[in-house]
Amino acid sequence: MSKLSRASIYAVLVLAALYTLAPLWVMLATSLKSLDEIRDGSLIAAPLAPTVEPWLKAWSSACTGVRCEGLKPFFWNSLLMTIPAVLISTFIGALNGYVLTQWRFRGSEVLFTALLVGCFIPFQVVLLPMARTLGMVGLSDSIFGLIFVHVVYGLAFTTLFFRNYYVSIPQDLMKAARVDGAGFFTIFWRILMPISGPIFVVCIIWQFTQIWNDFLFGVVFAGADSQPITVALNNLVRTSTGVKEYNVDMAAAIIAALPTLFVYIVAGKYFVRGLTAGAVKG
Amino acid sequence: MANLSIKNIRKTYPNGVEVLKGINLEINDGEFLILVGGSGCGKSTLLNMIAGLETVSEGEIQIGGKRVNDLPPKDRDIAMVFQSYALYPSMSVRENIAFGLSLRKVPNAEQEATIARVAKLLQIEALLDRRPAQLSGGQRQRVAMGRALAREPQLFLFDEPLSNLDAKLRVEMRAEIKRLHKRLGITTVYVTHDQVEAMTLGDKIAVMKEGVIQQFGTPDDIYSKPSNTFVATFMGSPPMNLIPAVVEGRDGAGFARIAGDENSPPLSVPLLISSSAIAAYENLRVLLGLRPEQVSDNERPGMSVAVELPVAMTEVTGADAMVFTSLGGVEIVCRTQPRSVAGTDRVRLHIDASHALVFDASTGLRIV
Repeated sequence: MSKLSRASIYAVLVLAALYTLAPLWVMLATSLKSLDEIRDGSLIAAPLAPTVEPWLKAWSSACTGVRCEGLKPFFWNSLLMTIPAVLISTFIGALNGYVLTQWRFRGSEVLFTALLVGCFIPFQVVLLPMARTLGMVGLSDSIFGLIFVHVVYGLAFTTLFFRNYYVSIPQDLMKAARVDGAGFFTIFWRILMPISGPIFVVCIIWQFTQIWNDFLFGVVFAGADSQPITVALNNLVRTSTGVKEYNVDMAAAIIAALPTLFVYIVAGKYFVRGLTAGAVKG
Repeated sequence: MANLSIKNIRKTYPNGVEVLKGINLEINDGEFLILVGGSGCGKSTLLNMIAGLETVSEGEIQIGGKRVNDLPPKDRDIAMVFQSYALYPSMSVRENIAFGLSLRKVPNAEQEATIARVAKLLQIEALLDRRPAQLSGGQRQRVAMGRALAREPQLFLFDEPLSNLDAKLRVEMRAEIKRLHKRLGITTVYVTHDQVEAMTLGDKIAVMKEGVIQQFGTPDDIYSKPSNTFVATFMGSPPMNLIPAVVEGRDGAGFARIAGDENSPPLSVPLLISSSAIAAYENLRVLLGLRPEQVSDNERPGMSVAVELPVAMTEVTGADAMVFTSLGGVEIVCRTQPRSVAGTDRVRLHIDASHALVFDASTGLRIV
């Protein structure tokens, strides 16, 4: 390849990277500026006198509606909701995938297809029936209700992930284990789980991102004390006391996005590896 | 150790497909049974039923005189080796061998002793701490056998264990399996589609087709007295030649008369049949069964018929040359010595009629 074409490829890539990173830069820079500096300076300029004041305010004292406790309580709400919802939906998805591939029964393919349809159902469609269901089982306005909703909604995806991963595992492996004397759960724990690392990572990242970032279910099904951070962020940005505090808004937005960023950075390479890993050899 | 008895076994799937149509087999303690047939003949299904991995629709399976139809695989005292080896990918070789033992709560010291014994027997001591992904095909095969041997089962089941190996390794492992069986004397059922494996390993062979046993007998029976044309052509390589002919009686002796065509002259091959049989089969359209080695350049005294045929093609395999020619309107294969066909387009062959077989052309069953 000639030097010129190589240089132009890099130029395009660098431009694309800058374009993608620009909003993040603007957010980060703005969140570290004082309000005066924002008013006077340019949007993309680096902060002259960086301050963490907006971050502290966004975290602990900004007003979200009538409450002025910052995002902190809602951040914990989100964690309390997301972690159990991710773990439960992933675990059930793994069991579903195991049954649908290794213990096929009459109609299992039909069941799987029906589950797949669940991936295509828009959030809005389930709002009313789900509200009614939550009311009947007494989980309305609580974190448990939100966990339940996210587990149910996530099952279609987690089942799909694990089913497609386990479908490449030869039936002979199950037969060998059964002849060796292993039962349903022994096979799952001792033989399948140890080789399921990549797909667990994929599934956890996917579910974490979906559930953490969800706004609609949060705003509809949460009570005042159980609202997730996405709802609080919306309230924070829309609550103004005269002056629009762009720096606090930006800091709040970054705080809300940090956990998903963290998950991607920590597990990102496994994500790609897991998505591309196909056959389980050996 | 135990005998195995299979009585009138049927397997029907819920969609109505009948894959096994009444199988009866009986082998004694320590015998080596081969189930052989093309794909889809039901041989693997039968093996899975013996293992307890598939349910029995009808009939009875007994291992060591005990009915096992409703026992789960782990309670049948069997061990199985699979075509894909089916080693547990996350476990080391040692753990693979010990897995079944630990599930059975065998004490640790005993497990260690078993692993050491099996590893020594199969010469896999150096591999014990490796994972399956780090092993070659032949090594995986050994480990899979080791895992099965660890249990000292009453019954050994093999599901096409050698078909994923290359040709050289296959021959080695075949010999190894035979040695192990001689040494341990465990009753064995072995599924294969390879007729060479079937002939070399088996004490008894069951040739299957479409869920029915075509013939059950010793390798020698199967080879020299096949009960029908399917068995005759399935076992043996190249397959037996089947030449259309008509039974004819002359002066109290029986002959198979082969019609001539533009390539070959008409021919009468003497048959070893009684006069009553001649009367019964006179003028019946039959297929004359001749193995390639029975049509050769080697003149044998006695019942031998000479014929000169055009050579369509020859394949020299080293010790032998396979001559492709035609007789009675069908292509036949003859086994000759390479020097007698070098550079000729016609060859003089001798048909050894003393072992000729005769099949009824309409039913395919052997009558002589």
